[in-house]
Amino acid sequence: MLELKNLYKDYRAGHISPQKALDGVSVAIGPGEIVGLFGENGAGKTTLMKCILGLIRYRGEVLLDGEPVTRRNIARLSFATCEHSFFPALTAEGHRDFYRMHFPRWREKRFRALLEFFSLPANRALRHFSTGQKNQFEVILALSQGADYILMDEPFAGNDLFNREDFYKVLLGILEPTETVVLSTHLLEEVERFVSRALLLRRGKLVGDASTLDLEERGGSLTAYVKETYGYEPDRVSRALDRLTEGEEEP
Amino acid sequence: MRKHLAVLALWARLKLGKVFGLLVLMAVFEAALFGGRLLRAGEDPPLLEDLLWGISILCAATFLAVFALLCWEPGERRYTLGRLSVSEEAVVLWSAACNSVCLLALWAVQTAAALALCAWYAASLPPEYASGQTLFLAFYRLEFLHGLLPLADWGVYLRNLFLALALGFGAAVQPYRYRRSGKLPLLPAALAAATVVLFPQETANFQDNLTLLLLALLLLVRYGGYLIQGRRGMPDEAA
Repeated sequence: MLELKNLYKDYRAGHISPQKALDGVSVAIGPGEIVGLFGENGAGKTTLMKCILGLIRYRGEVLLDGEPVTRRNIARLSFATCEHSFFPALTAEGHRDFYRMHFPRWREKRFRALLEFFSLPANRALRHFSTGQKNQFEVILALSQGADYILMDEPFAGNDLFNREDFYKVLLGILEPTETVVLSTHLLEEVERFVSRALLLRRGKLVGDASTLDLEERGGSLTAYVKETYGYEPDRVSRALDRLTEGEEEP
Repeated sequence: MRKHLAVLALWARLKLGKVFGLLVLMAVFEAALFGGRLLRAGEDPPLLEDLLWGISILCAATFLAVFALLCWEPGERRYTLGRLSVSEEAVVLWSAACNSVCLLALWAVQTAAALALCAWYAASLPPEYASGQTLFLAFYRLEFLHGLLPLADWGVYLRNLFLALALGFGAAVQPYRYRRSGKLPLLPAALAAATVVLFPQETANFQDNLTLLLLALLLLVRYGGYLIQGRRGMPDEAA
């Protein structure tokens, strides 16, 4: 179980008053869940992931099966980010050698299969990959590390729709029942069918937490739930257009 | 230990080949430059210091290139290095050890190349110009050669060793420091520049030795302090 208890994070820049990136986020994520983390830009999704991984300072607690995240258990968490975490000068094979040596639960078979699935070259330095290939490799590393909790931050930025669709299907096919994925993305409609739970962030606060199964049973959809939670106004565009064209005379 | 070895192997994979390539290039260019001028000289043997001038420039350029390579780290690494099962400080110390070995290798390769080139020069001299002492005297007389192989001048060996340790450590801590504070490598750059200027060493020049040693010591203390301070906290990067 990954538990976040009262996470707070402020960013300070010069003399500007601190900006709240996380404002008391508490949530528990169990084994086997596929969690979608949604929210507009600046809602705190990336910050939340970085706090879980201990990459930045924060207030509050992050517990992994009741224990704080330290060097001893951090290998149980993996991270795929659109900012990329691989070494550009290394090849895919070079990464495999390093990860296999450092992470005792490295999944060799999965790595090979995914590399083949995406047709990624094993002996070319990562800096020569296209953006889409880099994203794919980033995700492959995160899935092959042998982690129990796989955090993905906008992992498909730059990939085409077919690639993403295929990847979701492969993801569902390869995950073991105890593996947990936390997927931060803007592509709500795309992942709607793949996530089992949705967490909604707004201005650093957790404003929504729903299981997709519950939503379906109530006859709703994830998209509708997100729109409702964020107070989406369907007539917003028409109102704006009306205001813009008000008083304009016909030629 | 396997996790530490993984970090060490990663560093070697990322840097060792490039450093080795630079050292080979340096030796090849030096041999070509030295040999070209020696062979063109004709009857009158040129002065050894004239032949070595280009070599010292090539050596300085290679040193700066190797040092820049050791300091350079792509930004992407922070997400991996920050979540390994060994501490970031351990990664830095392994890098420091490897960096120092690379700088010592540069010293060794340059000394071997200089010895070989000087032996070639001595062999090319007419018998009336050469003696069994030619090489020995050249390494005492010429500043660049004396900085490389100071013979009985033990202080210079210690200085070179200390410089390799300090520069290697500075090159390893700098990316760690940059990740946390965004500060540029002014102190390592100053020590590298001072090394280029003050490395050629005339016999018993205590003042230049002392300047380099003090700068190296300052770097070790300042960056060592930063590493200890960094252990107590995580970076606080912007959103």
